[in-house]
Amino acid sequence: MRTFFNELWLRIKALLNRKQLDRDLEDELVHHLDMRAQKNREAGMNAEEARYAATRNLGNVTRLKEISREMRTFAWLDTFWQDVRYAARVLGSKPAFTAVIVVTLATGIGANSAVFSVVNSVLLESLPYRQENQLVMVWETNARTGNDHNVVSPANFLYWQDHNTVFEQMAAFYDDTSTLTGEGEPEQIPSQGISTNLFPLLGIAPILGRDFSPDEGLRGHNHVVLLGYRLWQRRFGSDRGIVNKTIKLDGLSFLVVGVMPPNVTLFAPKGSLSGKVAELWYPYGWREEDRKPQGRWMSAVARLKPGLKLVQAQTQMEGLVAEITSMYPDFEASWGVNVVPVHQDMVRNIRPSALVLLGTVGFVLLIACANVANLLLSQAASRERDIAVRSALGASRWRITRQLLIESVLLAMSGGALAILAARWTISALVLLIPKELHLASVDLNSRVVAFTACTSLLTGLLFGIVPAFDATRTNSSDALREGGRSETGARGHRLRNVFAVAQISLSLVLLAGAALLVRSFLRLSSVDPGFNPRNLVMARIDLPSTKYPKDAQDIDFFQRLLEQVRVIPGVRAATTDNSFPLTGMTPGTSFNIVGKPTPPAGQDRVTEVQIIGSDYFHTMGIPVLRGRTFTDREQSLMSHVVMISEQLARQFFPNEDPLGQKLIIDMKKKNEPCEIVGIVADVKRAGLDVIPVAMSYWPHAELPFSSLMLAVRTDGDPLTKVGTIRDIVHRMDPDLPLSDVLTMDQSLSESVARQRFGAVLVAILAGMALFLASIGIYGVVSHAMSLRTREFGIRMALGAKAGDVGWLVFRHGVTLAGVGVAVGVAAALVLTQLIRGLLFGVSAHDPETLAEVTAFLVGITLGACWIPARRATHADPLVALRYE
Amino acid sequence: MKDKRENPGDLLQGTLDLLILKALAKGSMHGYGVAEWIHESSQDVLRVEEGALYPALHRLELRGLLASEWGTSDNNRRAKYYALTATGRKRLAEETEYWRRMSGAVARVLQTA
Repeated sequence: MRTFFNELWLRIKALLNRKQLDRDLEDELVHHLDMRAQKNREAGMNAEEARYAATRNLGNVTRLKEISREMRTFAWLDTFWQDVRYAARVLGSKPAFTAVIVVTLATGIGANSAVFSVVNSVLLESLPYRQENQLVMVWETNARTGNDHNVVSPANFLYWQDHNTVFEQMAAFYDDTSTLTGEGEPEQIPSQGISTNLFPLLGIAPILGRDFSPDEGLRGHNHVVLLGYRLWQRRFGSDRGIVNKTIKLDGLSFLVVGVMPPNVTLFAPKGSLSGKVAELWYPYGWREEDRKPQGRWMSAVARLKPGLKLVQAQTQMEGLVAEITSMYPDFEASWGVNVVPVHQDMVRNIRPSALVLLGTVGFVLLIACANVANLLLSQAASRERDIAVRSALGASRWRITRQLLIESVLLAMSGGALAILAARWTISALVLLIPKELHLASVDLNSRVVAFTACTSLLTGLLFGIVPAFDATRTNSSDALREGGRSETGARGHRLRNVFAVAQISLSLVLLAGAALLVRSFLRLSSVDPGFNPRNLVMARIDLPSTKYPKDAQDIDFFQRLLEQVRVIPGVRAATTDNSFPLTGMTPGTSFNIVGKPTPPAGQDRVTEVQIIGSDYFHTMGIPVLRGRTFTDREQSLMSHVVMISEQLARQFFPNEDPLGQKLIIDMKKKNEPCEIVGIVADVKRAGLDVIPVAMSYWPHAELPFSSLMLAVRTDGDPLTKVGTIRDIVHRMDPDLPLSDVLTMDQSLSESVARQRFGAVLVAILAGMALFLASIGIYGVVSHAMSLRTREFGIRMALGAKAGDVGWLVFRHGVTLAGVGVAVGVAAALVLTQLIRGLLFGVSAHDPETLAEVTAFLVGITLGACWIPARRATHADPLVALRYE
Repeated sequence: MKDKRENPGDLLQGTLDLLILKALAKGSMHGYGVAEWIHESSQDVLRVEEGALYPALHRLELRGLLASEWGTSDNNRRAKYYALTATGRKRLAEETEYWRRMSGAVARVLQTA
């Protein structure tokens, strides 16, 4: 071992001190020659003879030095560096050629880096929690609806928490909104109710003050609050004295115990009312009733015990659910449990699109590679002699191949470096496209993106370099050295170039097909009739705190008076209220029974969503009434036990009879009376344009009093211009009431398809890049082929061929390429578009129309790219062409 | 660790290494001195191929069998002196032993009628 280090040390010393080493070698050999010459002279030779004999004796001094030097240094490193410098010189001597390649590669690699930076932040960036890989979400599953990410019942949560042995801890949270009053405008703050162990479980500590204590998680002791960092800055001016002060939430006093660090963004995608990131937290106050099985509305997160596997947790949780089912068969039938790693849970909606994007941008890079490989191949002819000379002088094939590969890696690395330089702009351009709903906090150029770019560049260099390099070194040196000799390399390189051109056409076709499908799918989705009229419709939330409005009658009265005043604002056409935003919010649901029909067995309840509506609702929203009538003014203000239903509810629960006049009983109130169906309205796509509407029932505000309602106002022009007036009216009625979540329905509709739009736009941009690169590639191949055949064309024309014939020869080449490329591309597209099936709406992955359009378009572009060289060929002067060589 | 005798079949190189080690057993010497010593000690039978001598010296130095030092030679010139290291000395003993056995064996084979 010691000798090994000795050797390494000597080598490193030699590497650092090359000049000294060379001088030493020289001195040593000169000394030897001197000594030998002296001895020769002593033996009687004259000076010249003596030196000559000494030199002859020692042999080739240069070679001796080389042997010793190579022995001592890292020979490969030495020659490697030599190759790099040589490559830089070669590339520097052809600046235009080099620039074209570097820019092409920078485009391809840069697109990859930009998309990777997004994917990195979406899929790979770890969440800011302690040992995130141990964290899991625990959802309930419903076998009937197929929902495997259902929110959890508090009773089940408590049972799991008490009986499991697989988790260190389990915590619960739910999204809420709290009205903050006091200094300044009253404001609706997205908040979360949490179990007191949530933050310790996640490993997040307040930056100021303290976390909740366990006894603050009991009903009655829970009037304490932790502020979010942003709220603390914005609303309290980063006042460090806020701790132990009291603030007013929903009309009640809460003691501020601490401030949380920035970027605490835990939110349950499915349990979220608003989809907003919470800005304050209060402890959920547990009580004994929570152990009784009732509704499901919490999200559960847990930390696995060290060393335990996910499947072990899942198995035990299933066992616990079975126990609950045997205790409460009605409540728990057809329900199950689903344990999901937190990270996977957060990215489950976005993962497929992210992977498709990464694949797409990889295709673009492949096309860029094919382009560059083509350029290198067309250079091969001019390099041929150079390479032949080197190999005749004894360079091994490996050495020459390596030299060429180093050249291509150098090109790719330059492209990568340029891409990194441009990344700041490409990434910020990309960020502009990203819909806000994705909550991407940190898309930036971090070390992982740089490392990805470096690796991509290296692989790219090897990928596009390897074929031209091996091809170039296959040359027979004696052929190449013969003056004017045209070796076979041209023909072979030409075949390879054709292969690359075909590959480019096929790859482009696949990308174009994918892009066209996504765009078409997006257009289909955008043109879906949501079931209500979103034009000039604005909605806003008003929460009446129960402390100030304890009686239902007060709520009903407040909203009726509000509507009366809003309706008389000039420019307001109609106004009403309901209890959830279409497209962006959650709608409450309940089970129900039909009078005169048997109660369904446990687990197969009839379920309907519930809308609590104000007067003039269907007219304001533009929802067609299909049969029966709407509610009268009297029914709106006095409980009259009437209900209206959606088409879907009628279809689903009254398949062969008239629903009008039938009576429903919902399980939502303390005292549930049968209510008569008086009307049927058309379905509304509340859950999203691509989601089939579920059964819906509409109740007058008087029937189901609600303290948190949405005001919906339809205006003549831009509805946002009326918001100020509406806010003034609310303010006059109650200065402590905020008007929050103001949203126009056009905006909301557009946001609901933001992700699909993002995907379609990005893939379309990438497909455009691919098409551009591919058409340059095809142009290059065809015109290069033409230049090789210039002499042939000259002869043909001299022998009487018409210009058109020659043009056709060139054009035919292009047509052949296009034909083969399209055939391969269509076959590949049929397979690969399957991968985006899940992202498509209203269009099949094999949509023949789309595929035909894309094919026609691509053939057109290809022929266009061939047409230019073909035209040039027809204009060739035979004399010039013949003189060409 | 590599096999101590790399290229065991290459008798010539192994022999040259052995002769160099032996030459330096008495004390340090420069390259020319090593060549001359071998030539003289073998009573002019063995003449070292001088072209092979220096690469061999450098290789042995790299292996840690020799150490080198710059000094001044008899004729007042800068010269590189080589000396055995402890490893080199051990190797010399092993190689000598090996050589004795080999040459003895070869001699016995040749003696059989």
